[in-house]
Amino acid sequence: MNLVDSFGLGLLQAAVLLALAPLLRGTIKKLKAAFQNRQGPPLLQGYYDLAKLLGKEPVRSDVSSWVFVAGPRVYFATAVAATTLVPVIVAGAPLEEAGGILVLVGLLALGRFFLAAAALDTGSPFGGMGSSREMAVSALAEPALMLGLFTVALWGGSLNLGDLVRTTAARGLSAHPSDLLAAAALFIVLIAEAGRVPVDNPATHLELTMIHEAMVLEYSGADLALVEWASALKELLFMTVLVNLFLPLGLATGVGAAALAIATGLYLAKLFLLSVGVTLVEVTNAKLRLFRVPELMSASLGLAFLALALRFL
Amino acid sequence: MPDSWLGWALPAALAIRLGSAAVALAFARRAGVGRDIALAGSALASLVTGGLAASVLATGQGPSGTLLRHAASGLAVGFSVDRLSAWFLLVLAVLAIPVAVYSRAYLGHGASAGRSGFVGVGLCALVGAVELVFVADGVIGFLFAWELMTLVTTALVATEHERPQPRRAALLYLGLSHLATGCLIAGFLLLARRSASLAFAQLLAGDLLPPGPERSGVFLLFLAGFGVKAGMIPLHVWLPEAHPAAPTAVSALMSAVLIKTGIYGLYRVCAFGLGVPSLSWGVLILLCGAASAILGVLYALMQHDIKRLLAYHSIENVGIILLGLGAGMMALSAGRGELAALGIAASLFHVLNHALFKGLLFLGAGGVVMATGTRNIEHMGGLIRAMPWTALFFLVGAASISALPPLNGFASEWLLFQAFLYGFQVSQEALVRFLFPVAGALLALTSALAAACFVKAFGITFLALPRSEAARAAHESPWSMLAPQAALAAACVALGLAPGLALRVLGPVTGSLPGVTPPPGLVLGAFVIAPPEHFDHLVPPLVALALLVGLAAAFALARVAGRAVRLAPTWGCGGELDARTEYTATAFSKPLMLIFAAVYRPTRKVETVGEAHFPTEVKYEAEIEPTFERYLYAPLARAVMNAASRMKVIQAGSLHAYLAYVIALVLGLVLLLWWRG
Repeated sequence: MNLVDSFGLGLLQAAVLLALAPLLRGTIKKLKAAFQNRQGPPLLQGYYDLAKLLGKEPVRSDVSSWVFVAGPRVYFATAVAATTLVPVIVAGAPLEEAGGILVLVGLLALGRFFLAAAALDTGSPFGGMGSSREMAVSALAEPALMLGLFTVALWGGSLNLGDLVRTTAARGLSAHPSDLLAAAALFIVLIAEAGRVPVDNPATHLELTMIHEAMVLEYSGADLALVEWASALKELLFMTVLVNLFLPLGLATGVGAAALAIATGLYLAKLFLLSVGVTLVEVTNAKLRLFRVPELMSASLGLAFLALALRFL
Repeated sequence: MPDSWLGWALPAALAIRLGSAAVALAFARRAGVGRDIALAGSALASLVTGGLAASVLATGQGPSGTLLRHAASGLAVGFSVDRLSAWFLLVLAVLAIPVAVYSRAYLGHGASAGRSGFVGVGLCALVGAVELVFVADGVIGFLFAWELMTLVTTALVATEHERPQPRRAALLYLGLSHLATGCLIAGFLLLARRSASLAFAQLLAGDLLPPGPERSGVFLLFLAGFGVKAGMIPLHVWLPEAHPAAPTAVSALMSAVLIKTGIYGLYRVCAFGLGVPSLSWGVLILLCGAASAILGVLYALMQHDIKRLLAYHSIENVGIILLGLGAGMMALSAGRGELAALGIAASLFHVLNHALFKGLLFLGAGGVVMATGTRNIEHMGGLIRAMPWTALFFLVGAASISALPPLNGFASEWLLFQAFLYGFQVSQEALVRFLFPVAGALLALTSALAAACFVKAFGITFLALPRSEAARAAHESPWSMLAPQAALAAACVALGLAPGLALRVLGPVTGSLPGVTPPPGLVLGAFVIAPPEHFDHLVPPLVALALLVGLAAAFALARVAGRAVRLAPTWGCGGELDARTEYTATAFSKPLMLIFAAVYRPTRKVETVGEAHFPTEVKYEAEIEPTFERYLYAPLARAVMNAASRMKVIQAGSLHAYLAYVIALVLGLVLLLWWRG
């Protein structure tokens, strides 16, 4: 496959996932409401919100600089670039020539770096608070994320997500304890990175508990739309990686219409299952105190390490 | 004749340095003239050095020769440039030229402008001494250059000797450096017992000592000696004191190049001069590297003095460099040449990358310090408006040191991850399989913490409202200070996008080291790195292109929405928003301080003045425990002082007593000789 085609496919995949991401958030909200015997917002509320935000007048602080403008844009760009490295329904990623796991993690770190720096730009104490907390939590999540991914990667013999998914797909479903532990470790990281209960609560704006929301508090209009959309995309991305690494069923190996249709159906079904899991965690847990989050992260790191030890030592 | 040109390049460079320093000293009374001569000489000589290094790296033809010969004793000081030396010389030249350009405006400014002539001469001499360390071909030349380097650095650290802090830093540096030199001399003497010559070619051929406790003892001596200079934990205590005390241009050189002499020594002697390393040596260096990386960045997080913060990051990056070397040595001990090549290439690549981004960050910090007159970031803020270019270049350096793609810091850490993970894949030893993934996880934690630290350093320094009058009145640095930063920032981006440029040169460098076999196809062209067996690959331009497309999409989305932006004051939570309501650096790093409280052991003191519930004034003081200083060095210093005061008994200060000692000593020696026959 030549480079232009890969790029085209990457763009297509990014566009499709971007289109899908608000739906995922809507689904989780709807599921959460259902668990709590509420009606919940419409499934498509995420799209309405984005449309409304994009049409609104952005208000920016008069003390902010170009970094404030760059923050959401770089954040969005890194999320989009990261999608091109991840296999979704085909056993291969469009831009897998560019790099693997390390580039994926690095890109997401780049987006976070810019958004956190931008949060300091308005002089509002909320931005600083959110930025500081986000960097602390993500610093703790990073080794767990890496170690969890390494466990899978070393078993598959490659750090490239495309190669890796091809190997795991060929091997079929595995219930090795190592895979279960690694999946659990990465699930915890998913919760932290997506800013969900018990690490963060996306539904509240209470200054004592906010992490991500405090960081983006000063954004409005199209700027906020970009942040929200990229965050949704990032969550979808993590969930895609998780389902495709640990449940590599039905990934299309060719480009036949039937295979692609089956793969798409299965992918959506797996995503739905994982969403139910995320929702269950959200509705059955209370948000942790900020200084209890490190314990959760070290549990994740411990699980990842155990996974590695079980498989190799 | 290219051959003769090469042979003369190094002596010529040294002569230019010596000559310009001498001429500059002659103009000592007119600081400006002296400074300019010394800096111009330094830049010119570094240009020659850079050309020499590039030529050696390209052709592999290393010149060697004699600098000085003492006819009566037959003692000769010579030089020899091989690929490893040339790599370090390249790093030196790449940094020394921008620093010389920058220093012209920087040193001429501020309180110590009057002695800037001497600082310029010192800078010139320092670069020359480091150059000589990298090319010395025997013990005598090496130790001479090593000591010259130490003394010049001490003088430069003490530039502002009116204040107590630089004096203390200089003394601490001098003391620890001499301890280190003592270790080196002992090590070289132990080696020299087995050899007829003091030339490195025989001394460090690697066949003098058989594996055993003696060889390991020599290794430990050298590790301690070079470890001090490299700033490796636990031998690092001088570094966070000395780097901030020196003028910032000197700090940049110290951080980017001077501590690399320790790394060079570890390569030249510990890794490749004592024969095939034992597994335990590699493990020890790996552990020291891991400790330096993680503790370095953790301590950096708590610093609010921008130069101290950067100094602690030097410790972190030395740790990363040592992680690569340690992994490489562990692979060497198992005879895995290809794996060793990965670790060592990552380590040497990071040597260059650290020099580039840390030099850049120090130069930026120098501009900021010059503009605001303070090193405390809590008194900065909002500088991005007054100093847009400095802010931009600092941001590039910050992203690069945080190992973010597509910059050069990411490229070398990526390669280091490959060394660990590919090493795990191909190794069978339980120890390796345990240590490599742990080191990988620690490296991930280190770079994430570095990102947190530089969000703080950049955000608090450059963004939001000015936190002091000085910050409000700041102005941009002159172009002669910005241009070197621009060049270094461009190099960071270029090596991030095309890591192959450096790695292709590094391939033969690693290949020239005994036992290391670079895997074929590691570097394909300038843009592709791919470790063996399709383990992973990296094509940074593709990543950058994907990022650009995403960026374009983001701008397009915001543009299509098309509403004009309205500017409004930030909501100040009902009060007035000013510098006092901003988030501070202390507050920013507080969550991490509490999370890693076991490392920091923070203490806080809160004093309230006035009534208990309505205080008129609250004083808050927080500090973290200086673990190494308090529990390792303080008892050591006390023991030395105690011993010294006991020794006072024999130091009576009377000439007669001293004469008696001399006579007794001579008699004793004569008796000893007679008795030994």
